[in-house]
Amino acid sequence: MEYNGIEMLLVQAARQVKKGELVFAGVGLPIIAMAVAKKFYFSDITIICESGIVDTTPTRLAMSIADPSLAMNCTAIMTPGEIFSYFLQGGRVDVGVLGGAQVDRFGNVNSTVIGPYEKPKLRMPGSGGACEIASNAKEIMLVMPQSKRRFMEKVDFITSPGHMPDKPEVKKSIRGRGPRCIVSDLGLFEFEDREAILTGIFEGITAERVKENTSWELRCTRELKKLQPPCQAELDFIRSLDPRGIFLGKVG
Amino acid sequence: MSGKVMSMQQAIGTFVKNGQKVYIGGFTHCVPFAAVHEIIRQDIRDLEVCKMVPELILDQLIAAGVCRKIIFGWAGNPGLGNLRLFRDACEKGEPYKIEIEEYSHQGLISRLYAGASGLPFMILKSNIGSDLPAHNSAIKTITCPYTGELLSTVPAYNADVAIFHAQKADANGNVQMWGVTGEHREAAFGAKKVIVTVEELAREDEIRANANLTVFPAAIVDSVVVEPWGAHPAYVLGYYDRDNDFYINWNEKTKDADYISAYLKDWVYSVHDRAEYVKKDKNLQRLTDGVKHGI
Repeated sequence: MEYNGIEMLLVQAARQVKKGELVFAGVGLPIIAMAVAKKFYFSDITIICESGIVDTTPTRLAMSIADPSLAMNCTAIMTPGEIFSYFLQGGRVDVGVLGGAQVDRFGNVNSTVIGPYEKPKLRMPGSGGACEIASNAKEIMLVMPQSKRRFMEKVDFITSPGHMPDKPEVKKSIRGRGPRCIVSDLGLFEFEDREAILTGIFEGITAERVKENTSWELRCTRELKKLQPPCQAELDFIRSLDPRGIFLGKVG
Repeated sequence: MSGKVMSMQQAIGTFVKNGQKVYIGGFTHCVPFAAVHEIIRQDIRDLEVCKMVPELILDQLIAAGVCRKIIFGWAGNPGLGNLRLFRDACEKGEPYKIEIEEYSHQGLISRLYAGASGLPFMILKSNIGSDLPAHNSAIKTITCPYTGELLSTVPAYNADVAIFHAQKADANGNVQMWGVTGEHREAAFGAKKVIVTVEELAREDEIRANANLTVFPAAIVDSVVVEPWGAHPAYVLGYYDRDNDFYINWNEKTKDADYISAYLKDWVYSVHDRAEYVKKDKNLQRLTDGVKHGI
């Protein structure tokens, strides 16, 4: 069975959800991963989006966070202001699922600029709702493809705060506990004493290869979990959502 | 035509002036593209534009030289990534340097809420720990007088004119919208003037029969423009689907920055209005396939 790292990422992210959780998902890989979670692992989770959409299951690829495929298959549509105030600040979101361009070992995420803010090398879209999701969801899950330029010792810009062990005063004012895990296209990172530790690797991936693609000195658990590959039904479902490979890229 | 109903040319010409603060609605649903194209055609300049998700509109406004400053929350092509001319403007000052004022989404909605509510600022639990406040001096921190915790604050935002698209309105200016209504109510109540473009005109008794759907009561609406397909390439729930191919093509074709000027020439400057745009695009009807009308 052929599959690529992104497909593996999606399935592994789906497995990191817990039974019955209320999940806040961003567009792109997060919403696809949560669709897999709901279909194959935890049918009782509730997926909400910052556009105001509550309890949705995408049946085709959602290209935007207010996509008609989400808006036409949900139990409620609130306003984004209500979602931020009542769901997020109100403390009702169990886990927020976010992507990003860079992450550091404490789970700080950058989706704003590469290089200095005033004269960036790469100007990206910015926070959207990411900062408030990271700040107010009880926990967050980060999903992003891995490379040395993405898994950074220090991110160029903190768009969404992570565990922040060096800033206890700041962390005290943030409601959420911070990142639960990072899922990349190579493996699974969980947090030990607020630092991301490699705890599982995908089939065919070595710890060495993960270290080569991480800029900080990566620590691993003694016994790395061998993470199960996706099954055919999961792959069929993922590919049916993204037949053009917009998010999945080239398979194989 | 009666009440507040105007043509697009008349509405934009009457209410949008050089140098103003203009709010543009549409949280990726009901994005008022037709109104923005009319602003470009009328060569209105030096605008301070505020839009939560400015998406392709931002590239078009920059290419047309309309926008001096952008206040935003997420400036990308939804689902696909970065905007070509927004990148060039920020990274290289090309075609010109644009002033930016950036917030998180909740930060910007909180500004709108304060503006609509007559409050000087709004508090929120976000921004703390982020690098954004270091680059935007309008984002400040206060200590809660009750609990002692740190809270983020953002100042009120009030537009000179705010522009939205919605499904229906009556001639009095009662506007109905369903599906994702986004930040529309907060933004409209804070604006001095409100222009709404709609897919169709409704009778007042239709409005009264479903009053929960009214997003803006007539009292705050200055102008209604009946503009079918006014949100294309974005979607209008119950009327037409999102033109995802358009967004995907934009992402590909704008690798060549000149594409955007060529697009404006073909689809903005050389069409008189949205009706002509609709006539020119032979491929639109596919977006109505399988769309369930109404609610």
